[in-house]
Parts: sequence; C-alpha cells; structure tokens
Amino acid sequence: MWHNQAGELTGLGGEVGQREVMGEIATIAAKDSVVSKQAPDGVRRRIRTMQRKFVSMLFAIFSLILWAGAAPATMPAGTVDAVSGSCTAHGRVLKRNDAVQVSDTVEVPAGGKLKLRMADGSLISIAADSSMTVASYDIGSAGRHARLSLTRGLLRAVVVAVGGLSTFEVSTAVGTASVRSADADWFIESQPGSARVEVLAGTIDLTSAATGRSVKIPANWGGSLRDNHDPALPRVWSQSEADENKRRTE
Amino acid sequence: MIAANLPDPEVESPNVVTAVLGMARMGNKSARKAKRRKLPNRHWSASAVLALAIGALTPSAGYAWTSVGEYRNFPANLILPQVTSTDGVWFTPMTQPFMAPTSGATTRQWSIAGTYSKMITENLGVQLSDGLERDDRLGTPSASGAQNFAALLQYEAYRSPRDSPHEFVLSVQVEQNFGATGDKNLKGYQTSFTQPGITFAKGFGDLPISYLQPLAITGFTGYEIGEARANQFNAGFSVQYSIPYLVSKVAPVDLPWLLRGMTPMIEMSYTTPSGNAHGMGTTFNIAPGFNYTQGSGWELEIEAQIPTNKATGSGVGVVAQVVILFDYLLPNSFIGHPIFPRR
Repeated sequence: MWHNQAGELTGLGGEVGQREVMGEIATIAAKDSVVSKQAPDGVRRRIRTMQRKFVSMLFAIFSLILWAGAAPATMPAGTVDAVSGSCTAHGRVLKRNDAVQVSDTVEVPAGGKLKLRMADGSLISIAADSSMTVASYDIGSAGRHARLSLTRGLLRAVVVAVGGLSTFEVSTAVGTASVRSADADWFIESQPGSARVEVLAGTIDLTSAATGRSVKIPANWGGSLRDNHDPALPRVWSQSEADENKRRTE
Repeated sequence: MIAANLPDPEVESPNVVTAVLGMARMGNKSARKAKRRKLPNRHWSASAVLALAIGALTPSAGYAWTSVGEYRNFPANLILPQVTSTDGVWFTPMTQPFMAPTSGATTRQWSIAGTYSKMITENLGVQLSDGLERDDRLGTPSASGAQNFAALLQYEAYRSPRDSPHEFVLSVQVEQNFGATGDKNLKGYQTSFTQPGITFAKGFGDLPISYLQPLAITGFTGYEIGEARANQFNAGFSVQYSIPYLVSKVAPVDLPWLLRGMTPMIEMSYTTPSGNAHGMGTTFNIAPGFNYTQGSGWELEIEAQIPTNKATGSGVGVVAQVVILFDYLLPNSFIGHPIFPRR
C-alpha cells in the first residue's frame, strides 16, 4: 500500500524526491507493521489513517518545493531580441534568443546595445554603457508586476497593455518612474545623482526617493529629478532630444 | 500683447476716454478746449484715459509657460507677452480704478481677455485673442462691449541646449490688432496697429551663488505702428524667483506645499510715443504678484497694477490669470500638439 501511494504521489515530486520519500515510507511502514501486530483493529485503522495523512502532507510539501524551484527556469522574464557588443547577464555573454531571468543584471558596454522582449510583449531597449537589473517580472491572469532597476545609462520601454492590474516601474538611485497609463513608450536615463524621464506615449509618474513627491509626465513631456530634491516641473521636450534618445537606443 | 487695445486718441467718441487721451499730452489749451466741446462728458480726462491705457497693457495674447533646460520653467506673464507660444488657452480678468480729475471721483475699468494659442510647428505659434470690457463712467451710462480682435505670430529663434546652465530663449514676433472689430460702444478701438517685437527670457542657473540661481528675468521690446495715430515704443521686463526651481535643483528646502509651487514676480512695462505724440503720454506700470503651479497643466496668477505717474493712472488695479495647457492635458489631440509635428 505504501509503495503504491508513494508511486502515485512522487510523480509530482521528481526522481530525487521519490527516492527520499520512499526511504522514509519504508521506515514508517516497518513501524506500522510492529504496531499493527500489537494494537486492536480500531486503533490500527486510526493509526493507518493518520499515517496516510502524514505522508500525503509530506508529498504535497515536497511537490510545492520542487515546483517553486522549477518555475523560474521555465518562465524567463524576457529574451534577447537584438544585441550588439558584448552585453552580459551575470557575466555570461548574451546572444539573440537568450533568456533573461528575474534578478539578472544586464550590462551593456560602451558601443553596445541590447533589446529585450519581455514575457508580456513589452520591449526594453538599452543604450550603451548601461546597467539594468530585472528585480521582478510577474505576469499572470491577475495582471503584471514588473520592476526594473536602472543603475546607470538609458533605456527605452515600450510597455504593452495587459489584462488585470498592472505595475511597471523603473527605479533609479534617486527615484522611481512608474507607468500610469495602460501602455506607454518612454525613456528613462540614470546618471550619478539624477534621473530623467521623457515620454513619447502614455503617462509616467516620476517620484523622488528622498521627498516622496511626484510629478505626472504626459506624452511629449519630460521630467528631471535630482538626488534629495523634488522632481522638477514637467517640460515639453524637443524633437532633437527625442531623436537623440532614439538614436542611442535603436 | 502690449497695448493691444489701446484706444485711438484721435477718434472722436462718446467714449471720452479715447478722445481725452489725444489731448492729454498736447499741452495746447485751445486744442484741448476745442476737443472737449465735442465730448459729451467733461468729467473724463487724461488720467482716466491713461488708466485705460494701462488696462490696454493687460495681455490678451501670449502668456503661457516656457521651459528651458531641465529645471527652468518661466511661468506665464500677465502684463508682458509670453516668451514663446504653446498649445493652450488663458483668461485674464482685470480691474483698474482711475480718477476723473474734474470731479475727483474714482471710477473703474473692467475687462476679461481670452487667448487661444496654437503651435503650427515646434517653433512657430499663433495666438488669437479677444476680450470684453466695461468702462464705468461718471454722469453717463457705462460703456461695454467686445475689444478688438488681435493675432500674434511668434517664432522661437533660439533656445539654449538642454544641458546648458545659461537657460536662455529668444523669440521674434509680429502682432496685428484689427481695428473696428470690437464693439462700437468702445470707439477707442477703431484703428488697427501692427507691432513687431522681440521677447526673451534668461534664467540665472549659471550664477555661482546657489540661492540666486532661481532668479530669472523676461523681457520684451516692440514698436507699435498705428494707423492714423502716433507710433509707440513698448518695452518691459519681469524679475522672478522660482521656488519650484529652488526645491527641485538648488536645495532640498522643506517648505509648505503651497509655497513649493509659487513664483513671486514683478513685471514692469513702459510705453512712450514716438514722433508726433498726438497727446499720448509715457506710461510706466509696476505689477508685483505671484504665479502658482503644480506642473499639472494649469497655472494661476495674480498681480497688483501700480501706476507710477499721473499719466499712467491714479489707482492700484488687480490683474489675474488662469492658464490651461492643452499640450499637457490633451497631448494626443489636435489642440494638444503642433499642426505639423516633426515626430
């Protein structure tokens, strides 16, 4: 009986889990055999029921642990859509169609460029001499929770609309920019002691990490933020600025 | 738009303000008497007319927000032209008391001007403006009606690069006031004028003393070529201290939220006739006040109007303004971006 139950349940847990669980089950079964011989029938039944429940619980726990560990490996945050130069993620050189995982730090060297197609279809274009970490990128039926961290450099984010609740944030050392609209096309640049946001489409909130104050930046406008200061009032940004950022990220 | 609605001093009119303006500077007694005989009410005189001239300095075109560099925003002016055009609309109510010297009684002018500004390209904008006016008069019913229609074409000729600390922008413009498009009750508005001019703004983000960096000035100079009346030289400048600039760039000063969006400013305007003055006098007006904005597509402003000489007026007036920026609130609509955008 124990063997059969273990076989059914270990199908969820994989080979290693199966071996571990089978060893434990064998021990319990041996004890069970001794108890079964000494106790009355009613007590034996109760003991068996408890044992079954205990083992089922163990299998469930093992299964959850193994599933949680396997999930990131099967669902990358994004894949490399285009690359030039020796762009790396955690030291490995990226090439087209490589996966980028949550917690990966992507480095784009001077003279390089990188385009990531994220799991929700959004496109992240990273300019030369930039460093970005995928802090989280959860996509599901409930919506999207994406958080990138831009340590230095410039990126363009073409964020697509998804069903459900959505948060899409890019944090820098001085503050955080978050997409306020359903979709957006925008740039964010992180420099020592400051950050700059420029919006092509959609609406972005730029919030100071030090003061907590925000400004709302609509399409064709931009905003700047200095360390320990309030965000500057938004301003219309020029075509030449747009062209320059496009050139750096395309 | 300086002197957009300046009455024609040579036109004989029930609006005696207009007529007296022509006499006030003549210094010719017989001419003055002759003129007065044509007037329905002798209580109206030079100061009243010139007070109206102050009112005429109230903008009916072009006073929205201009940003230069990463942190500098020049707020809308009230009695001087804006430095650059934008996609937006603004309304400017104004009241100005003035005194009828014969009776010594104080009376008042009211007006509200509206301006629609539209960008044609990223650097070229047009402003269309009109307004309503009421002139309280002693001994006769108040005169009220529409002001002249005016249009202004403005081209931004130079703007310092985004990363430059010099924060400078320069525009050239030409304004056309269309005579006789206003209400007949306001017969001072019979003649047209054309005014080419230059506007500029300079922020002092390049000063070595950090707490002076929020300072900025804006300026205007123009030459008004009138039809059948004296030409006029107009100039003005403003000095302002931007608290939004202070808290976002200079120092993380902890201020109440109301102060954080405030820009105290003082505007000064000067007009003087050139050639044959036809009785027009030199005026100098000072307007201290403040602008308030949260950077969310609107601005509120209020200023006192203080005449500095008798020719300018006899009482302190008030001018206010609300600015609504379509390019911020409706960036994807036709009214929210240039007709011919480059992108």
